[in-house]
Amino acid sequence: MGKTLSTTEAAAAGGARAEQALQPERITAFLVGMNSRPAVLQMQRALNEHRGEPLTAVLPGVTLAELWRLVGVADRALRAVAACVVLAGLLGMVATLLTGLNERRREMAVLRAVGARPAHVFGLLALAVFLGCFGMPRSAPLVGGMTLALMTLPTIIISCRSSIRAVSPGVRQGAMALGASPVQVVFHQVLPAALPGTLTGTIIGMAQALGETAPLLMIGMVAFIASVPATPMDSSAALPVQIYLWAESAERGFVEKTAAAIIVIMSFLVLMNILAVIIRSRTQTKVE
Amino acid sequence: MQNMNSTYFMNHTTTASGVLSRGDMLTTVRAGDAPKVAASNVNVFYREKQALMDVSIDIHSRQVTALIGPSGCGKSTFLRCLNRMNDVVDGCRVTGNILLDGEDIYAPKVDVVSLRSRIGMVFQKPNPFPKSVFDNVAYGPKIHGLAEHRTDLEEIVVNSLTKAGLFEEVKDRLYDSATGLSGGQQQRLCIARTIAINPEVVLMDEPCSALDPIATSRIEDLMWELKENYTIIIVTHSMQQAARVSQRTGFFHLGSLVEVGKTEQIFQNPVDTRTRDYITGRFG
Repeated sequence: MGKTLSTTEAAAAGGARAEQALQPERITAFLVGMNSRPAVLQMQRALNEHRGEPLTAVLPGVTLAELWRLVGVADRALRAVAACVVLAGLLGMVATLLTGLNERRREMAVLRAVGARPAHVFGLLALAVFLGCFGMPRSAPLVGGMTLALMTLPTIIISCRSSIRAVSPGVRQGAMALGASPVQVVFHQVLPAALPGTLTGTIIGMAQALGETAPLLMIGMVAFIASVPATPMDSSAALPVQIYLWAESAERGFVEKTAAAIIVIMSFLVLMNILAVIIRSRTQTKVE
Repeated sequence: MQNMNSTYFMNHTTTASGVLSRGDMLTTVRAGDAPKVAASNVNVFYREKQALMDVSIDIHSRQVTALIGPSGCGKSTFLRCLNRMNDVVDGCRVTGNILLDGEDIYAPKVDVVSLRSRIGMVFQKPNPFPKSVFDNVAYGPKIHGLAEHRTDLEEIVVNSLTKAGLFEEVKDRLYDSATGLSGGQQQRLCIARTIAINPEVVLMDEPCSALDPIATSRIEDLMWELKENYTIIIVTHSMQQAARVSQRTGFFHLGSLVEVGKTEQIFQNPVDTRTRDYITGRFG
């Protein structure tokens, strides 16, 4: 098919000159234009069914679409590779994090013993791993987000685990006795039943993260930032920190600015909780 | 309440004799059939401890077989061997042969999922899924792909609920949560859920021990109807129940099957002294 196309192109480009100067020894393909559109299909059919000559007619549009479909397969395969790379990258990051944790176990124990809150420890950890090992920029929202994620992870994991454990073994056995495979048991019965509890844990974790400043101070999200960050890697200040900074300023207008920022953070908090309550009550009515 | 209970039991002592004669007739009619489930020399170990010793029993098609015996004698363990629910118990090992229609269910090529769709199970405690009544019954047919369209699925659900004698009670709240039903209704829902995938054998592990006498009698009536189409094996602590619903009874003691035979014979003329002692209430 590729050959057909290229010769066709050559023929088209050659145009009038070919007619005059070059007498082709043989013609392998040529383009035919029709005056009426419906006639295209009829023509193709007539050519394909014509028994006198071994001719084949194809519609360039259709053939191209087929070609793209073929390319699409390769495209999808590449996407899988991309996903693989992302996943491997994430796993590598987690592995580094865990090694870092293990190496610093004593240090962290000492910190906790002298009165550091878990948030401080997480801040230090983020400082060591994200900024130290990976060399990410200071005060970047991306790093801040990852630090907070790290910090809320235990809350979320613990609540997920306990709500999954709370699913009665009878439900599991019942599904199994009906011939559900282990995967089906987990995805059809256990996880849906554990969803409300899981959501609650996630919401508690998020609320905790929203007001947290200590770990963000460690990674430098405390600097005065004048410009609005354009990408997740630009430096920025966390909202609680910003409020704190503004509240300290004595200049005119900062009182209002502080109040506005507080309203923003409060309404976001309220909104998130309302959303959580709605989701929770919905899943519960569905479940109970 | 006291009054009600005593009348209830009186009623059932009168029906029990009727049950026995009917059951007797059925056993003679089907005596020549090949057994539906044939277990031979089944041993079960939980780690080092042996829970079942050389159990051999034939279970016949389309009748109720009751397994009785004191607590911890291995009757539930045996029941769980029949649909391989013991597979998931840590450190549990099963030896011996269990044949379903002549095929070894412990053969390596057997697909446990399809085996469990042929041998359903009802548990001691009603365990409806925390979903709607409809979804509870529809779950089995859905995962086994028994219904192509929504209408097929609805038909299966309604049929199963009707067979389980529950449809009239729940027809107005099919889409309400199943956990809101009473204990007896929940247990019948579990039976409906089990028969929705059209199993050949239904295992019942003390299905009435968490229910009141009225709900119990409904489940027992249901077993009478179900045995026309299914092979039922029931584990029970109540000897009256075994006498009322079953055609054959097996007596387990300390991990071995002491005696098995027609229910009438086991209860009126047991061969083994241990069976006699248990039935007359001398122990257990």
